[in-house]
Amino acid sequence: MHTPATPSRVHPLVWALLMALLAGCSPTSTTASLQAAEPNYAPGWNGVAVEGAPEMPEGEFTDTEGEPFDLRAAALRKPTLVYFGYTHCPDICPVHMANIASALGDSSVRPEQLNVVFVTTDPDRDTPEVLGDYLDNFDASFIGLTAPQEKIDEFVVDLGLPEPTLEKPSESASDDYTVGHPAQVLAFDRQGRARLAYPWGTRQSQWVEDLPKLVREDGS
Amino acid sequence: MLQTISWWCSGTIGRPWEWSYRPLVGVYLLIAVLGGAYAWALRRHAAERGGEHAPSSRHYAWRFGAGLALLALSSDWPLGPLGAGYLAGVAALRTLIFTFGVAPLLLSGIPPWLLRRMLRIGSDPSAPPGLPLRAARVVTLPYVAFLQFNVLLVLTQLPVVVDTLKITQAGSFTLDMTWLIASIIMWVPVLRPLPELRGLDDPIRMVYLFGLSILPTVPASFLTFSRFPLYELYELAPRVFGPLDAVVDQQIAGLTLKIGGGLVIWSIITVMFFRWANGEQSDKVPTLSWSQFERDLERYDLRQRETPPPPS
Repeated sequence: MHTPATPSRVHPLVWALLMALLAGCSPTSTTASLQAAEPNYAPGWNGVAVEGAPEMPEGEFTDTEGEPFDLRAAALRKPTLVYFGYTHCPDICPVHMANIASALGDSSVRPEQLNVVFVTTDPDRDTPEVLGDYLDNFDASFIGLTAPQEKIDEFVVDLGLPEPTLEKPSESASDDYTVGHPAQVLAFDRQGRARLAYPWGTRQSQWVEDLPKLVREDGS
Repeated sequence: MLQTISWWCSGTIGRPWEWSYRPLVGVYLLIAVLGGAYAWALRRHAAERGGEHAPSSRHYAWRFGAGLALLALSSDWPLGPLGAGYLAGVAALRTLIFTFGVAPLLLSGIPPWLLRRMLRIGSDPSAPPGLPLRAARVVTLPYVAFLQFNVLLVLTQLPVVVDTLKITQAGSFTLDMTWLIASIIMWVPVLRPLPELRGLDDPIRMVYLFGLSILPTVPASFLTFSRFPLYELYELAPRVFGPLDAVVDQQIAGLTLKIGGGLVIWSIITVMFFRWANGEQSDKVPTLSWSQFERDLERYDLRQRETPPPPS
């Protein structure tokens, strides 16, 4: 005869699933939180007001064609976004560059109304050619600049930003190293003053809101 | 090594993607727990039958095993972590694998006698149904199963849900399991695993599946045609494939959900339609294979076991 299933017991497979679910709900997360502290945005902007609005320092750079480039003079001609990063950067730099490039394509701002400048903090690896190839992946109008390491460090510190640091596993390590660098994009007005800093995490939609205002307010 | 071990895949903000294996303990544990409980149930059932496995046990076990293998493949490295924290397109692919692979294989891999035990169904048909069976009957009503699946599809694609839950391992696990259970419930009216649970007739099954191919168009369209990245998680994730734009990744996700899901559902509908049409038009007496006969015996709980002779 067929033996009836005992109706009063919950099957172990159900228990197993419940146990697995409960285990997954335990607070074992070790990952970082996406919601970092909310930046203190400047009223009406998606960037943070830069204290003291430092002036663009004098500095001699080389562009991706190997030609000398006067960043200060360029910043006095039109509003300028400046970012300090490096082409081997595995996380923040490509996200910033991609988001600005996408926002430029999506906003009413034309490339000739705004300078987007990427200053390398890793001149040893980022030759003008490497910089050019890297930036062309995002937007051909982006300006890539390099200079001797100490000149770049000095320029960064003059703007009140933390000095870039090479993080090599050992002195003899080859090209496999990272570089600590400022994470924000600085927005300079046509007077060459850093007015706003856009922290890491600024989204495309926020750039699309702010880019026309940066150009309009500055150009009016 | 220990620092790279996690429970479940989740968004790891700021951590660059690396093509090196990262163990996910929760995946192994879940597979071991489900597989172990299943094997234990089969052995116990065989022991009750005097050490003899049911003839169709292997058939069911293969399907359940394939479901577990697919669950491991889609949740373990690299698909799990890529989908949880780096690429919306891979997240959409995982959703498809869960919905159209893992869920139907697991469900169709559970033998009816086991499902009856899980739902605490006794052998007395006149006995009032217990709470598990009553609950199962409600949630697997075709319109309830259809609604819950589509509501959860929309809810689990909402940016606020994704950006909040996927950044923790517990949240990501909850999202995955919620989706898996919703998919299993969705398949019940189609696969008709037990006569006690209401299934759908063939033509209505096709209509049900057709409906399932239409509603996902809504979230898929938002993903495909949105001007900006909807998910902060994927927009700010370190790039995996060079400068792949977050909007392009999102479009891939939308198209994967819509085209991939649509292709699978329409393929199933097509096969179902021709089988049904052939059956309707055929003058032949329907034939039944022995294995199908065995499965039907189990499904309808009609198998009679030989009672061992009493000890002398």
